[in-house]
Amino acid sequence: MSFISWAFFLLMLPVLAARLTLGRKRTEPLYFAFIMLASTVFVCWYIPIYICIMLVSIGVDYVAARLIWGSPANSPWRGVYLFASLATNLLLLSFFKYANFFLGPVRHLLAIALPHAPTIPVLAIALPMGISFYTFGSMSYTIDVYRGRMQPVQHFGGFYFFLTFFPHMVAGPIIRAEQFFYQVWRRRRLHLRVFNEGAYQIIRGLFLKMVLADHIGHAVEGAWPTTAAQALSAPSPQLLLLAVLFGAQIFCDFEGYTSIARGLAYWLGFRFPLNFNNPYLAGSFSNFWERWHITLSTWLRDYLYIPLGGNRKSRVRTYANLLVVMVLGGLWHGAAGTFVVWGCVHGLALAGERLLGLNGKHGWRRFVIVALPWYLVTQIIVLLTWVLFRSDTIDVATGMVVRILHWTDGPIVAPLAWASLALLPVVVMHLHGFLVEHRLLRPIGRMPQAVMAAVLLMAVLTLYARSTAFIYFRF
Amino acid sequence: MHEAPHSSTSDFDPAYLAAGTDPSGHNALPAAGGVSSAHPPRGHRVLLRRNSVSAKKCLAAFILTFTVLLVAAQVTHLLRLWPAQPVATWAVLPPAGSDDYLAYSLGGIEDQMIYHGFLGIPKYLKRADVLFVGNSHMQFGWPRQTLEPFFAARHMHFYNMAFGYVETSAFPLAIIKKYNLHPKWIIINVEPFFSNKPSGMAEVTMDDTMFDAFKFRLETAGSFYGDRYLHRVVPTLAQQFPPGDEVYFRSIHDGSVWLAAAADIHWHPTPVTTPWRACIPAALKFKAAMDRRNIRMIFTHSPVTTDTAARGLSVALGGVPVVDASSLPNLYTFDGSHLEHASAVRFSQSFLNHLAPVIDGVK
Repeated sequence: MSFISWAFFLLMLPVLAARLTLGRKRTEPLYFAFIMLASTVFVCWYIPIYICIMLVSIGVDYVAARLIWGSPANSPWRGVYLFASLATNLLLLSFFKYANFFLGPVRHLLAIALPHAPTIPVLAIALPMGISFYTFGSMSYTIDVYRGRMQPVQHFGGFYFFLTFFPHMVAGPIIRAEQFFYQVWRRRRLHLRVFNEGAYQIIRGLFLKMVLADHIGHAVEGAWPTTAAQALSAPSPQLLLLAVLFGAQIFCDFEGYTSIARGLAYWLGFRFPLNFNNPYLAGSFSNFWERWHITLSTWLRDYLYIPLGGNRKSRVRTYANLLVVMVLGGLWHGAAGTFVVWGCVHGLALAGERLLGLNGKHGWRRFVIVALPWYLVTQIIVLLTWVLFRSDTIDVATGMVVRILHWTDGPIVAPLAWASLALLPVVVMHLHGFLVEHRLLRPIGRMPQAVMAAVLLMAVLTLYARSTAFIYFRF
Repeated sequence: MHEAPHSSTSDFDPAYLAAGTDPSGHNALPAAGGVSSAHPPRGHRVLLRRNSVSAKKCLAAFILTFTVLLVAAQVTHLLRLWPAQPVATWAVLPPAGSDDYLAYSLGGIEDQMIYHGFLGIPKYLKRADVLFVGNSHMQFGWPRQTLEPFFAARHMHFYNMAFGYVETSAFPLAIIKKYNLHPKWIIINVEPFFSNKPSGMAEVTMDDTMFDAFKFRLETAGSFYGDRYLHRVVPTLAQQFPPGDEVYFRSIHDGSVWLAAAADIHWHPTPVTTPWRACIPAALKFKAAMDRRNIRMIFTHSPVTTDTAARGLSVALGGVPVVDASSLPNLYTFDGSHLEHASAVRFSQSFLNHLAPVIDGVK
């Protein structure tokens, strides 16, 4: 179920009514039960039977965490239970997301080795909604219990509530159990200020998604090359603008979704972490990953990079860790070579930046004469890697990048030129962020925020495009 | 990784000032990662007190600003400073009390409605003595106005089961099998129609479950009526891209089309000849299926095509009757392809005049 749908609007009406009526201290158990019901409807809306897949993940992790906590500290069974939990989640994720990706080369090899044998069919599997997000949230839970960072949840219903909580179900942010469960116990008042703040986040998200991302998306969809030949024959200015527009589209789309999710969670009495922080202000690749999909990057840092050794082993090991983490991060986005290469490029960029001593603000980048060019290098490479992210095949992406680098003048089609107007709010947003970060401007106050919310809402109602699916829904 | 400073106050949650700790004390938030702890540090509390504008004033400012913008939009709309509004806002709905349902609005839901049997449509399909099948030319070229009295006089029921998206024989055949239909006659708009592969829309429809069809209908109808009533209050600028599309409804009991909104081109078409020889195998398969059900076939075509395909396939199938009324002069389309209502009435009346001896001769 998309946030931009009539079905979701109809679902939210009773949920908000429940918040206003049942969401008080004395009736909170009823309120949570209602939210669980609404979340179940939300999960089942896509393919109802897929709730079973989620229940497998929830059930295994709930039991595993209880068993881990109940085992003595030096018991080897703790590792076994953790392994069972991680293996279940990763197997589910691998099957639904990567089965065809890994079967492809196997099919190819079998065709060469045993040409007369029947071919392995392509599996027609629909990806369960949000599986990449809730499996990561679930794995973080069992890992944190194993590490002793938190106690396991006592009631199965509580754990079910956490994983199915619908604002973050489909496309994040990736919430960790320790960020969520303490919020269940705190008082949840019906403040007008909370309503205002939540409404602002939702309206802002709708503007980013329905006005900016969807308009840009329609233009990009119509002009993005589908073959390498098309890419190599298109004018370079058009391809460059396509890359820039897609960079804006994916930001607006994902940040829009996250903003709506945060606003909805606010209204329901929960707080989600930030997921984006003006990523196109990043002065380095490491800074980019501190600003882009923050919950994913911190998850990878805490549960993959640091356990691999982080930067506490040798230099070479550090670079290798960065590369492995980013390749897996790319693979998380999708079962395609383009995502693997995208991750690989980011991994190499992070490693190379570290090698040059440009990853920290206190190294060479404290000099403007170094910081500014490195900012440009970072943003250009991020821009070019978005070409990989969007393209159907590596050939198409390569063709586009080659064509951009071997500049050939030519016209830009009208829809793209018009769509570039949507870049202006993104630029203004980042400029405002830059001025606030450098304390040249105060953060926007509540009154201007309220006025801006009204303007954005009017913009949504007068300028919204026919909705396209959220990009991160397919992950 | 160090943390970049936050750029807005939107991360401050006043409800957190009343936050309690979790009982176990273990579930404290980590300090890094853009997430603040269970107890906001003192600086946050102080900042909030300095920045504490009344929430009621903020809400009032929001409402006031939005109202001003809304009034400005309405005034400028009355001054005709806005472009034409989306089709949904000016579509002419069927009269109250009719049994028409929304069938097409920026995309068709008729395939889902008929295939998955919503609104009791299968009951009317089963009782039909005459089925009309074909593409969208048949939807608009054979209106109820002429068909109803003709078939009522013969105590027969008809059903217009033509579909858009250049539909082929595979989809109606699937419906006939699904609901075990046994009409006496099936009148086919041969342009050329016959194929073993359904249109893309029909393929999706047949793959979908009834629940998927319900969801699709909910969103399409919601968007149509949402646009209609929203944009009578708030004009829109963006719905012109892509340009407005047609909107039509269909009757539950006979499948007739009610055109709610469309382009207004008024163009006399030049008939085109459609290739048909490659369709013979699919046509033979279709005829075999009709013969098994004792359904008699009649071929026809709309004025936008020549009779070549209909007559060629008629011969290939062993002499299926062809009813041809396309020689009428001064027939016009509303969009270059589909007959305007007045032309459709004349055309279909001529068609029925030619049909009568065929149907009345074999009852």
